[in-house]
Amino acid sequence: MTQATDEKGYAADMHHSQFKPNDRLKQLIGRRDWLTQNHKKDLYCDNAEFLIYHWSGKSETFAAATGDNAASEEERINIGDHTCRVDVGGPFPYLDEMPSKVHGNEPTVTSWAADYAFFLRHSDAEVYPHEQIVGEFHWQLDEARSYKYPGSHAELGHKARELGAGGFSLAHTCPDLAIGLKLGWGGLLDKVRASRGKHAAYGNAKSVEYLDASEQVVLSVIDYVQRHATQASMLATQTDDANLKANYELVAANCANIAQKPPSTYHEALQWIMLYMIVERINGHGNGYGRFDQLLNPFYQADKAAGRIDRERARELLAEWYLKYGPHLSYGGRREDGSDATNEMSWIGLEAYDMVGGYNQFGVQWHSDMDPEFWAYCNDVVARHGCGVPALLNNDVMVGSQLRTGFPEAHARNTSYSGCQWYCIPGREYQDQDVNCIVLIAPMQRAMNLAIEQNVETWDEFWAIYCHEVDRTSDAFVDFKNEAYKYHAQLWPEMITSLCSHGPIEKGRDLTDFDSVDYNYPSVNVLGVPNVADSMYAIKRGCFDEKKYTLQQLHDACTSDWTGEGEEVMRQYFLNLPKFGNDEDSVDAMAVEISEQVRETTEAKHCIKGGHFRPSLFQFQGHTVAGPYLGATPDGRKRAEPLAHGMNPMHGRNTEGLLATANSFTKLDFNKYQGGSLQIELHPSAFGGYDSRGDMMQQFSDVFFAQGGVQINLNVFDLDELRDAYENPEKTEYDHIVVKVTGYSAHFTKMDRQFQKEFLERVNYTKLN
Amino acid sequence: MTETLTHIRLFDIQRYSVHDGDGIRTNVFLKGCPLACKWCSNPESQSFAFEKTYNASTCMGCQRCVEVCPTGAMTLEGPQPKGTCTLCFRCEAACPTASIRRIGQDWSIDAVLEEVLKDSAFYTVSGGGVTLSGGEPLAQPEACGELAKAIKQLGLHLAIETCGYAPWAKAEPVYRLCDQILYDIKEIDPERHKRFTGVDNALILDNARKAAALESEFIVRVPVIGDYNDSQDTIQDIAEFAAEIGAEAIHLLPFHQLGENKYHRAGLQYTCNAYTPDDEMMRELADVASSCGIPVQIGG
Repeated sequence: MTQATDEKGYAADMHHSQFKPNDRLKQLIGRRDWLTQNHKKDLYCDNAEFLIYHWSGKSETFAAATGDNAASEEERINIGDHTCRVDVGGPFPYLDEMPSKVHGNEPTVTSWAADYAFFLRHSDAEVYPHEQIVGEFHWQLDEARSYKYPGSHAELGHKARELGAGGFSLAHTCPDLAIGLKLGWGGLLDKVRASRGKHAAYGNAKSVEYLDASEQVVLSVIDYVQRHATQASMLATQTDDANLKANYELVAANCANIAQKPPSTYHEALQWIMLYMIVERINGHGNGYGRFDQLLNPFYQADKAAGRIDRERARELLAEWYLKYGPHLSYGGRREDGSDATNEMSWIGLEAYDMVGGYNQFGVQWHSDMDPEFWAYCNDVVARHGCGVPALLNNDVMVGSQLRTGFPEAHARNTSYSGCQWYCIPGREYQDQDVNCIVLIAPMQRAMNLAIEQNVETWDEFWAIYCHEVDRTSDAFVDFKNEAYKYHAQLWPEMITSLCSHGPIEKGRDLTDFDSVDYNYPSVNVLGVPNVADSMYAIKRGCFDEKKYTLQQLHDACTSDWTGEGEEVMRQYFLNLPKFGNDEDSVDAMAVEISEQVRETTEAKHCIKGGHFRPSLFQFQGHTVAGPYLGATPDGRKRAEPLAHGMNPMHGRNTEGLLATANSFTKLDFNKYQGGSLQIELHPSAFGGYDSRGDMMQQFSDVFFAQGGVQINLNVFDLDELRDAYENPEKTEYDHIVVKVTGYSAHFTKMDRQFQKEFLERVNYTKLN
Repeated sequence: MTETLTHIRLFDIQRYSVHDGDGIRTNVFLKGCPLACKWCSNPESQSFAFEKTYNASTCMGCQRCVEVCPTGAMTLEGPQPKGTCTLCFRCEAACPTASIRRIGQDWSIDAVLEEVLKDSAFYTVSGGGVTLSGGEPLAQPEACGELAKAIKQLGLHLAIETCGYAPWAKAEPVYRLCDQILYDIKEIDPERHKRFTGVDNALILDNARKAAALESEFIVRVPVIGDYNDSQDTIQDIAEFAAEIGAEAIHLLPFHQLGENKYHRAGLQYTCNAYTPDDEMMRELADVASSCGIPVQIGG
């Protein structure tokens, strides 16, 4: 079923890599490309509301592809090839036999675990030719188990949406794989049973119930891993091809070794993580997997010392791992003592990507003491491949924001990039990263209405009203989230992630529960900060300082989308006022003030699980559809235009070039936020030759990070090609183009058309100046 | 810091330039040029006076400019007799779409320094700095010298893009302050030079000889203009001259048609019919130059 990619199409050749895939990898690359090109890896959500508010009012998370929780084909929006799941069409074949269908669906961990165990025991162990790392799944549990919070939750959700907020709670954290790699599934089972015994002795029925459920889950995983060994052995007996036979036997041996015991080699460790990821992602889309070089280096070094492996082989296996699915993970960073953590595996991690290229999600955590050669190579890789991999991150700012939140140094130092713009202490956080949202346009619009009603005459009065409205939105958001947290652990526990976290098994409480992992400071994406900053600056100048127009006139113009008489002249006036992103202090100061204000407001709100709420100056895709949804804004934006992407300047309003934008960006103190990526789209000509690309990238990233920037997503592509791809969807010659859409990567031609269009519009820096 | 009294007339400051000189640079464009090259891609740089440009493609015809114009120079019916406009720029202030733009501002040296210092961190990591360009920087020799001195006092790398058409006594002190001199030579033949640029090249070539002998890195830059100076003979003449005077390298810059719209906006006629030499042709010319015994680079 695979279609081979022709010779010239390999990323290693197209992007001038010195590492070339061998014939076996070429087969696997062919399959990867076939799967994405045929829409087998797509992720969906219900509707535009989901993108804007991260809650659709229908599904409780991203839309299930099939089953009771599925979205209608007409309405759903394709987020792109961003899922580990491989679509084979049709619903889960044993749908009607699910325990919850047969015995009734209870919102309890017992009912959930019974479904999970049944589901996994009825999921095939899949082994494909040429693979040396196996694991693939076709349905998520939410396609087979219905999933609904009580009505009180939806009620608060609709109220929050009315005021401009929303969110869901599922995954989007980062387990600590070191736990599982050390214990293996058998060790985890023992740990669950031992904890159960302890809790039973003290009469803690609730924890006993949880650990009984967890035991069923672990047993089903052991069976699932073992079945891969059985399947591979069976395939080995059925083939006469010596190479394939050897592959199958290798897979069989590895899977048999790790079904219960912890992995003992580098290859087994990669296989262990792959199957862990699969049994975890069956549970729902979205986690990161931590600091891969730190996790894998002990295995690699031991193998190398024993003469079992060399760097080339290690690279080949990691490349194969990437080809199956490239989730969010990280390289680099510091050790606990503050020294540079870069090791040989960090290099292999980058080299493996350099060899296979394309879709991937990992990041590199720069810091001022990082091995300069490694950092140069990271810049070289992202500049040559040009599709946002690796994401470049500032470790020290990430860790700084964790310390500022109050996490102890020993934990904070281990922070790993784990998603679009977010990061996590593996195994110690459950903070809903990236799945909550405050749409800042909404309180601003209400503030305008109220100020008109109250005949407000000064900016200070207007600002006070705005602050009050941001507070109202935040309150509605917090009420909604806190309602979800009351039910989450029973309704949709995350037992696989809990197994590799610090606390849940010991306490017999799911990771999603109260008093389980150490840190519960939910993150909230803030959508529209640059538009609100530009708009508030425009209001201040135009309606209060210069008094060119009244608030009423401005309000009417926004309502009519600037189509009334004289309103285009008015729009041009507002449009041509200074805008964020041009290193212009007046309006940049407004952007800082707007960000600080929403931060102070959300940080003052209490999560019933313990911590406060932490804002992130980012939102993954809502800006594409939020424009038409929310209407025209005082920054001169027409209704049809998208909002600004994350904290990036509004499309087309940054006229002073990349360095000016970088300077505007770093006027914000990113230690105070949970991420805020700078997205850069460059035309290849900006770079000149392939040899100099890395240097030019590094010159920029060094300074940006020294000034306190936190993340760079770089895309390099020819705008004309992308435009042609958009205008001629039937052309397949652009199918290979991967872009870092926001915090995640996807194949351009496989994205929703609206996303494609927005992506073309946002291209900011076709030249460096 | 006390504000210096000297002002310098600029038409632009461009940050993050990576194609003019080493590393990441800020280009400071001085207004006014003694030459009038037919292919000039910055026609707004030629005159020493302030100018007004009008971009018809963004104008929405609101007539705000017409209403505020005190001399009746602004109409939407087309250009008015020369001299009617007094360059008061009320029209610019009134224009909601920024379709009317004033070209040229008098900057204090301190203000220029403040601007160029914004990217100093980028200069450090990339080995970049500031480039004085134009127009012709030496056409404002005193201000240019003062700015150059101040930039060097800040320890920044300084380059100058110059056509060399200035009295040596004025040019020398500025050149001496520069770490790198990017010296334009368009033509060796005096008659052709005059025809294309409006001036004789004796002074330019004489100054080149002297500038090349200074300590600063001296590079000859040739804008290769299709149909003007793209013959192998012309390039050979220039390369031989460059080699003879001891230039470190010669850079051949293929002409790009970027300026035409600017002519229309400034109400000027575009009389140049130059074309862009293709890659193959550039390689051939580079070979010719190289055979004169001097390192050659295509592009800046």
